[in-house]
Amino acid sequence: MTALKKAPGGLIRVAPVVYLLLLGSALFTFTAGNFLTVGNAFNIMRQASPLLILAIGETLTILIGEIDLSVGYVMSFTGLAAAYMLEAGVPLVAVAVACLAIAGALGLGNGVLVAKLGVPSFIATFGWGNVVFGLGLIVSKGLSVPALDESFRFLADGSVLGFPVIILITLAIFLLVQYAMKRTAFGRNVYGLGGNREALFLAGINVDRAQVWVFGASGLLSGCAGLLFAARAASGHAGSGVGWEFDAIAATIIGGNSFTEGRGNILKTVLGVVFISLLRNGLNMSGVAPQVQSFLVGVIVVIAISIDVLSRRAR
Amino acid sequence: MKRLINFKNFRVLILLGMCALLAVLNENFFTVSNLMNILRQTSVLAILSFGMTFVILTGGIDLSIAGIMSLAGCVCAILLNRKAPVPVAILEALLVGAALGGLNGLFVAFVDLPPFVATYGVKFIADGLALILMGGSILYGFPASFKALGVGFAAGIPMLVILSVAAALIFYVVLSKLKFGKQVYCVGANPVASFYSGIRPKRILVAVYVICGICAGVAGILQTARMNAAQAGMGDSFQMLAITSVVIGGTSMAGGEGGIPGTIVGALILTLIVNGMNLLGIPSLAQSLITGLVIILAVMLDVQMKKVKVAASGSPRGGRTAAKA
Repeated sequence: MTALKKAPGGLIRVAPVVYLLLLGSALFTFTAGNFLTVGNAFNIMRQASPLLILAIGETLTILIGEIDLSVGYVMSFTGLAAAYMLEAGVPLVAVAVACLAIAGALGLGNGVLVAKLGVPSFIATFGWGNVVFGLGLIVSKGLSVPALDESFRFLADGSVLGFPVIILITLAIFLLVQYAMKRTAFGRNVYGLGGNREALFLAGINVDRAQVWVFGASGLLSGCAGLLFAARAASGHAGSGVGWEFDAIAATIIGGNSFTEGRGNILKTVLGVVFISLLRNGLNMSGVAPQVQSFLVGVIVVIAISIDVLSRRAR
Repeated sequence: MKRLINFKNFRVLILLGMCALLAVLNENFFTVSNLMNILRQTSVLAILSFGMTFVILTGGIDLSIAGIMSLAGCVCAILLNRKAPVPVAILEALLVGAALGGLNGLFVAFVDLPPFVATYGVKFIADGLALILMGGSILYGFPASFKALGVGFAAGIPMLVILSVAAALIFYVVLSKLKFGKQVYCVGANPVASFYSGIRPKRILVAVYVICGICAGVAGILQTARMNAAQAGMGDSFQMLAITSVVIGGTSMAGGEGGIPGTIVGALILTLIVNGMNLLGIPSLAQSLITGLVIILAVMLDVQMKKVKVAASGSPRGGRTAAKA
């Protein structure tokens, strides 16, 4: 639990986003009658699930000091591919495996461009994302493809013992990545790449290859998000994830992950995603007009991040 | 041969190669009207990219230009629709650009936010304000004296081209001849060293983001005049194109290296890609794919050429430093 840290004075230091979460919840409880209900809490978590998985992948690339602007496009493409395969009658397990393989391969493509060919990640992932987007558009002619398979939709709408399946899947993915970050060479390489590449290289690690794997992981996670999102929407569309990369990045940063020093973890990202989702949900339920929402989200995001940066400097 | 394909002019060679290819593939390419059309299409993107060049030279990035461009265009359109004099509307739109650029600069320089994050937040603010002001409607039908900025001619040359060439000259002189320009390069190359040599990096940063904001404001005004219409979100497609033309133009995302001439070539290359695809009748669904591929190829070539250059100059670091932006 690195979000909670003992400060020198003995008080428990909490990431600023936690205060914002509490503040937001308190505020929305007054402005929206049924905001603070179990039903709505589940609703927020269900809505947040695909974004959370996407943001976890984005966090990996941000922790190594790069950026992945293709996550939204990979997510849409995976959902589209799933819809096509399901319509063709391929069994769900095979669809999931094939789609995740595609998504992972697309992510590795980013990694090769960045690590082996030296293209700055900002440009490489944007260009590659557009290629993936374009492929999806050409294949689907820009139309959405229905995915009405019952077992597929169960992933998003079903529940086991009262718990929504989509939340259980997201939790499992979170725990898996958390384990990989804490206990495996993959996690050590992520922090090494972000903190000190020279040291990682001197320790005998193939730095370029490690970087390629991180982008591969980001692609794989975008694929998971794509499957869940397509299951929720009961359809796939080449443009369904356009713009999601920015929400994923914003959530990562609001949670308090550092862009430059290889400091941070995916638990912080969870807080960031919950905050953004709660904000959107609360503003919706309080009846704030969509155009005002965009403005408010911008202001609050900038303020939240400023507080985080300033409080870290004051320490 | 070796002299010809050197680091400096290979971008121009790519540009000429693309022209030659398009001229062979389509007889309508080398007509005066199409060439003028390309220059006109390039103008708005070029002006946006000039501002972005300043920001990227300091090692930053500005994700708010599309938002600022939309907001400036909308503010201008609303004022014109309320019968405000044209110069007043233009001035207010420019002020909007400068103010939001200044906000970016304050967040980056004084709050120490990563430029990526600060400008992304400001993008939301600008987009949100534009949406609130416009309420989703489209404003159109402006006075002829305003439209002339976008579609008019002076001495047979489109106004847009005259304006963008003037902007290019001004920014070229500022960056390569004035003290301020040298300071921009220094801050990008090494902020700490620049501080100890008497430069105030924070002031330079604020100035750079204000310049970028004003450029976005100009782009918004010109786009409104060109389309004779304005709506929230009108600048969206320009955001990544502007960054890409700067990077294709050889300005390093790590800062301290590059300049206006490269950006002009970069903006021309990008416009040629779009224009060429339209001329060749490539369906719009495939254009995203091709744009993505060309952007990757162009930047990859750029990186490899820099590696060759660094290897030739005998530096032990190789070309890897540029990759970590």
